[in-house]
Amino acid sequence: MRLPGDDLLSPVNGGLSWISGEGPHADIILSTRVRLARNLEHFPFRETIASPQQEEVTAEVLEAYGESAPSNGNGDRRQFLRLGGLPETDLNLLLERHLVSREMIRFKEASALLVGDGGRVALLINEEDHLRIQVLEAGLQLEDAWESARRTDENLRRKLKFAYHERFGFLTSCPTNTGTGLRASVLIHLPGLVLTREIHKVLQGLAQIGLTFRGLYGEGSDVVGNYFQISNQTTLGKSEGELVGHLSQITRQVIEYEENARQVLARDALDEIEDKVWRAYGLLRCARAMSTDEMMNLLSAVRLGVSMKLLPAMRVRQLNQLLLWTQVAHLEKRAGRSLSKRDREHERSKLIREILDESDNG
Amino acid sequence: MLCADCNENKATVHFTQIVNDETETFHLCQDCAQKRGLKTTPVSSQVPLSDFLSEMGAPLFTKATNANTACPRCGCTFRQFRKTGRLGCAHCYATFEQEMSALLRKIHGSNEHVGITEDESIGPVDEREAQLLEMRRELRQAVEREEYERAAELRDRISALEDDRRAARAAAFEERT
Repeated sequence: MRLPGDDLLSPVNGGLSWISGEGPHADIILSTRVRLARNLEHFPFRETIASPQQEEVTAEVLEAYGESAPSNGNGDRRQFLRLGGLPETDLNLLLERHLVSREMIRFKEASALLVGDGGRVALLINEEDHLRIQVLEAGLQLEDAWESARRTDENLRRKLKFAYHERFGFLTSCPTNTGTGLRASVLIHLPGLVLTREIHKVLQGLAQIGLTFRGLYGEGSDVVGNYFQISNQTTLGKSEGELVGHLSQITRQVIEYEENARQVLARDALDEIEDKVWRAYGLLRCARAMSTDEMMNLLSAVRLGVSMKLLPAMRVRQLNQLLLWTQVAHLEKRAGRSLSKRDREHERSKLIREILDESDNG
Repeated sequence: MLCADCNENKATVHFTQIVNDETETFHLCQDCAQKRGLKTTPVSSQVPLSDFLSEMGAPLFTKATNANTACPRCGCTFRQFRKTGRLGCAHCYATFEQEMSALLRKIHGSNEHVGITEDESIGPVDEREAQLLEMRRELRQAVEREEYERAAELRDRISALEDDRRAARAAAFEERT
């Protein structure tokens, strides 16, 4: 399939590097995210800020980023969007890519998004905090993602004065982010643990060691397709390095549990797994209408199949494309119009076949 | 957040009881919950944050601060904060310092920041570190794409840069000693 030039609002690439699937453990870990919450010292937080002040926040962040990290010209194309004027489909497209939050859409008039460093670093402006520095990477790359976030933060601090308290650290609108302002997370696919019914033990264990889990689209979202988002629960009292290191270590452990579960499945129920995987593939391959829920379930089985080397022709990149490009806003953007439920299911099945065709041919 | 009973372990059990229209919420660890005769089921991680905070805020009043005391900079009161779970400005942390100190300890198990400080800086951007980071990334991609010639070239360049770095560090060390 031909990829149009990347653009934040293109239905295809949109400057996302994680979709390439080129990172350690990319078959199990879809993406790694690190974000830092920051506020400018001389402006009130979102609860009490006035809109002209929000404009100033945007201007100051833009200027500071431009001066502190001059574009190196090769591939580091900056992209900047104000959410205010964007149609709903575009907003949802960005949401599906985790480049903006629901919070930003709710307060879209003041919100803006700046993406740089080859699509890896995003500055979310006038979110719940004035600034969220977000780094998204493919696979498990917590240390690298933290390094990029730290560098961006440091560069911005040369120009901007962030709200800071001697004892409490970086100050945020909500006290659950105070201190480091750091939230690190991995988006992990755990079908083996779900199938072997070990998942609750693992999730309960996470809660006891300061980690928390959510569904694919963050706070309050459901767990679909066996995707879990694991992140640090607390942000104060431990250094950024400790928080990131802890999550990294535990994530590796969870990967090991998942791999063990898959070995058990391969040993005790290979026929059933193989049947499940190929059936899922067959449905994706042939269906003429596909709902999101059905697709997410089938895709989970196919991802497991790719990971267990039962579906040799498919690449992780295609799994990621199937997951993201077939979301509602992506489909509508591609079609250039809003789609009825029926049209959507039809378009989705068509796109799935196109993406799978590529793996059959190459 | 620490257990309200023993104040030692992390609170993983949260329950609300209503007696005579009075709502009371407890945050306990597994052991203390069992001592109180509570059956524990997996904790839902999806409690809306503002509810959670308003519950947390309730017992947190100190006599020093009245619920209607307003932050002199933004006008936000502690009562408002309890309702929304969001502070009005950075100065609120100073206005309600005692309450925030206790609240942060409950949420995070600590109220002392130990991470990067506001003026901690690496000084000028280190070109070499940035280059290394980028090259390691390219190397990973080259391996994944099975572009082994490119990978070998990158590996050599990375190890040359790393040698440089070691030499520079050794030189800096000698200068200091």
